[in-house]
Amino acid sequence: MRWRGALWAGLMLVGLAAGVARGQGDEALVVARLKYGGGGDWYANPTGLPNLIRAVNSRTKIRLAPTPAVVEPGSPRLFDYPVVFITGHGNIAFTPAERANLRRYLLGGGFLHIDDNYGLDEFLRPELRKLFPDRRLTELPFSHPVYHCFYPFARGLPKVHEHHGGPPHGYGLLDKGRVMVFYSYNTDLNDGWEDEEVHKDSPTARESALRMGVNLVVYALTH
Amino acid sequence: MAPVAWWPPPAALWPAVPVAALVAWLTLRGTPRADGRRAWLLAVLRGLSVLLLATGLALPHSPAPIPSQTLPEVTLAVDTSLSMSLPGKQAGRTRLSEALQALQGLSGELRARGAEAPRVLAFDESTRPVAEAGALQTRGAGTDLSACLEGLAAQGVRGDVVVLGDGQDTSGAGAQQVGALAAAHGMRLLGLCTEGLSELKDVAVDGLSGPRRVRAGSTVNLVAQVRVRGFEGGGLKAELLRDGQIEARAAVPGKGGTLALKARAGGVGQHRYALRVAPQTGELSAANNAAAVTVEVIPDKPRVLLVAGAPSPEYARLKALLLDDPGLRVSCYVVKGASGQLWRDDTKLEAVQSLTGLEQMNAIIALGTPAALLEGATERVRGGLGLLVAPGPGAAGLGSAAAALLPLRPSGQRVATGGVPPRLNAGGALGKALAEAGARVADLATPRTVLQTRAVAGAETVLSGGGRALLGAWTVGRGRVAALTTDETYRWLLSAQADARSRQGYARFWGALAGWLTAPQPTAPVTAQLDRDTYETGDTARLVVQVSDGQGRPVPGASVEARWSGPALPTEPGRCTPLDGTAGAYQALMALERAGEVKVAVTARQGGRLLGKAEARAQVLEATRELRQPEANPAWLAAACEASGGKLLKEAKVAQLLPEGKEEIPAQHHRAPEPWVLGLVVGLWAADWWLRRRWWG
Repeated sequence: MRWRGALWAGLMLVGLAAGVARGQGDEALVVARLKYGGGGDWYANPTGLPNLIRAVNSRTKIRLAPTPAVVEPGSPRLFDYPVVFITGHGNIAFTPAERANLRRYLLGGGFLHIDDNYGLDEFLRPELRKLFPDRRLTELPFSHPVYHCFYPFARGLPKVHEHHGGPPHGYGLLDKGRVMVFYSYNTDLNDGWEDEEVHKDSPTARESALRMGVNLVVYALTH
Repeated sequence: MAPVAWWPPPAALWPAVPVAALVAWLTLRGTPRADGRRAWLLAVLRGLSVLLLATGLALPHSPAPIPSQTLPEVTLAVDTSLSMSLPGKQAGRTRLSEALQALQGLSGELRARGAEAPRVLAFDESTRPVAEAGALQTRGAGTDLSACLEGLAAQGVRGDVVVLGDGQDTSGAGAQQVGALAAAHGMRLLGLCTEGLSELKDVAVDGLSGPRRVRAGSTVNLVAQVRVRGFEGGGLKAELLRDGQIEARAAVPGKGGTLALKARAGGVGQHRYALRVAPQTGELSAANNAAAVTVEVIPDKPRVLLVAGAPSPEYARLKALLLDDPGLRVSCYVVKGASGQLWRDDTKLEAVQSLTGLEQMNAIIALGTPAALLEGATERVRGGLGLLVAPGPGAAGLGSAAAALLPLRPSGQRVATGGVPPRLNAGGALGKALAEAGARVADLATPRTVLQTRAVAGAETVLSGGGRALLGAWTVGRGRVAALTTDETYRWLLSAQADARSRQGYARFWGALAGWLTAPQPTAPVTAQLDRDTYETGDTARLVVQVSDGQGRPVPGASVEARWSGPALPTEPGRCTPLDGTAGAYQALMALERAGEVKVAVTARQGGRLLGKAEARAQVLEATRELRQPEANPAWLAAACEASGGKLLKEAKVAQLLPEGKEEIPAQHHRAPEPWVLGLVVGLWAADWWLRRRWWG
C-alpha cells in the first residue's frame, strides 16, 4: 500500500513540476549563450549571464528564464532564443552551415550580442565579414536607441575594463535600420556582469555594465 | 384683323330706291282696284325684294381702303441679367436704362406706323412678359437667349425678335447655335447692343483651382488666374482665405496672370479656400474680385496604436512590420520598467496612467496590455475604434478590462497545440479578408502554445489549430474587435522552418488584420448632403438626407427635420419630405438669396426615438457669372443675329430695326350677297305668288 501512495505522490509531484515548468517555459523567454567553434572559450564568464538575467527580471517587465541556454550556431534550436550572447578571448569560427543558420536567425529577427573579453576581436571580424559580406560593422552614434532605450548612456558604452586604451566602441551590423548584431569592444561588459568577487570591479562599473546589458535586452525585444 | 363691314355706306342705297318704287307702282297698276289693300301689300313685297336684291348686288365703291393684313409681329426682348446693371455709355446710366430707352423709341415708332403694340419680354435665365417696361430691374444671375427663343417658339411666335442687351450669354451656347435656333423657328434676330464704357478698369479673379481632395496635415496647392485692366501700375494685393480666415497674402502681377499659392489642409472635412482682391476705386465691378474652391480633407493614413505590456519578440517584430507599412501611421507604446512606466518608442512618458489621444486612432493592437491602459479604449470601440487583444508576458492579456468586448474569453491557462497546422474559416468578414489578402495559413506554423479560451455566442472563430481557437472576431457597436490567443506569431519569422512563404504569410496576416481593424466604419445612421458645395445668389439648394438603421438598412417613414442657418434664411426648422423612389431618403429645398456660409443641421426621429443627426455645409457666392467678364460682347450678338438672317445695328439707326414687312392694301373685291339676303328675297317672291293664287286663283 505504501508503494502505491508513494507512486501517486511521485506522479503528482512530477505533474506539478511539469505544469510549473510548462508555465515557466511558455511565458518566460529564454536567452542563450552561443557555443561556437574554433577553440575559443565560449563558456567564459559563467556568472555574467545569470546576473544579467536577474537584473533584467528585476528592473523591467521582461521575464527571462533564470538559466540561460547553450546553443550551437548551426542548431535549429537557435531560433528558440530571441537573444543570444557571445563572449570569449580567443578563436571563433563558423562553418558555412553555421553561418547560413546564423544568417537566417539574424535576418529573421534574432539578436546577437558579442562582447570582446579581450583577444576576440582579431578572430571575430573576419568571421563577421564572412557572415555578412555585404555589410560592415558600423560604430553606432551615442544617440542610437541602444544607448537610450532604458537607461541613458549619453557617452555610449561604459568602460568596465581597460583592454586597448582609449574609449570603448559599440559596433553594429544592421538590417533595415535594426541592429541585429551588437559588438562591444574595449570594455568587457561580461566581466562587469559577473559576480562581484570574480573581478572585484567597483559597484559603479558593475552597475554600468548591468545597465548596458539591460539596454541590450530591452533593445532586442523592442526593435 | 379689323372686321369687314358688310353693310354698304348710305350712298349705295339711292340707286336701288327708285327702282323699288317703280316696281311697286307697276304692281299696283296690274292689280284690280277693288282689292286696294291687297294690291298695296303685294306692291310692298315686290318693292322690298327689289330693294334687298339691289343692295346685296351693289358693287362697293368705298374710297377708304379696307386693310386685310397688318404689319408683321415684332417681339422686343430685353436682357435683364446682372451685367445690364453695369454702367452704360452715357454717364449715370446703366446698360439696362439705355436698353429701355431704345425700347421706348422702338415702341413709339411701331405705334406711329399703325402697328399693334409689340410684345415685350424680359429675359435672363428665365423669360417673362413685361407689362410695364419702365419698372424693369436687373435680376438674373445669368443670360440664356436660346431658352428665351425656345419659349417664344413654343408659343407660336414668329417673325422678328429685337434683342436689346449687352451680348453676354452665360448659358454656354454659341452665337451660331442661337441664330440657327431662331431661324429654325421662323424668327429673325435683330440686335441692339448696349456696349457700356469703352475704357474698362477692372480687376477680376477668373478662377481658383486646387486639388479636389488632400490628406489631413498636407499642403494644399492652389492656382489662381487674375485679370487686371486699368490698374497695370501694380501694387495690388490678393488674400487667400480658408473658411473665411486669412491664410496668406500675395502680390498680384501688374498685368495680372497666374498666382501659385500654398495653404494648410485643415482638419478632416470640407474647407473653402477663396482668393480675393480688394475692390479698387473706379473699378467696373467688384463682384468678380474673388473666386473660391472647395477642397475635401480626408483622414490621413489609418492610425494604429501598438501597445505592449512588456518588451517581447512579438512586440518587436510586429512593430517593425507595422512601421514598415506605408499605408499606416503607427504609434508604439510599451511598458518597460518594473514599476509599469510607459514608453513611447524610446521615450519615457511621465506618469501616464492610461493611453491618451485615442480619439485620433483608428485601431489599437494590445499585446499583453495592463487593463488600466485600455480603460479609455472600451467606450471608443463602440464608437468605431478597432481593437485587437493578444496575451503577453507582461499582463493578464485577455483578462483585461476589455475582456467584456472580446469574442474569445479566457477559460484556462496556456496549452500546447501539438503543432497541428492552423485552419482558416473564411466564411466571416475577417476570415474573408485574410483569405483575400493571400495569408496562406497553411504556410504558417501553429504556435506552440495558445491561451485556452471559449468563443462568445455570435463571435467568429477565424483561425483555429489543434482544436483551439487562435483568432476570434466580431463587431461591438461600430467597432471591430479581434482576439488572438497567442503571442508567438513572430515565430512565423523566427523559426527553423521560417522561409519566404512564412515571412510573406506573416506580413499578409498582420496586414489583413490591421486593414480589417482600421476599415472605414459602417455608414452613419443619418447622412446629409447638399447637391453642391458652392452656390450663387438666386440658386436653390437641394438637401438629401439618408436615414438607415444600425445595419445600414434604409428607414422609411422617419421624421426628418432640417434647420438651416445662413444669411437671410429662415430660423425655424423645416420638414424634409420623402424622396420618391428611394427608400430612406428625404429632401428639402431652400432658396439662397444672400451670399455667405450656409449650414443645415438634420435630425431624424422615428416614433419619438432619435435615429441620428447630421450636418451639411455650403458656400453661397455673389452671382458672378455675369460679371466675370463685365465688358459687353457685341460680336456675339452680331453673330447670333446674322446666323438667323438678321443683323446688329447701331443705336442711331433705330428706325432701321423696324421690320421690312410691307403694308398690304387689299384690293377691292366683290361683295357677294349674304345668303340670308338672298333667302329673304326668295321668300318675298314666294309670298307674292302664294297670295296671288289665293286671292285671285
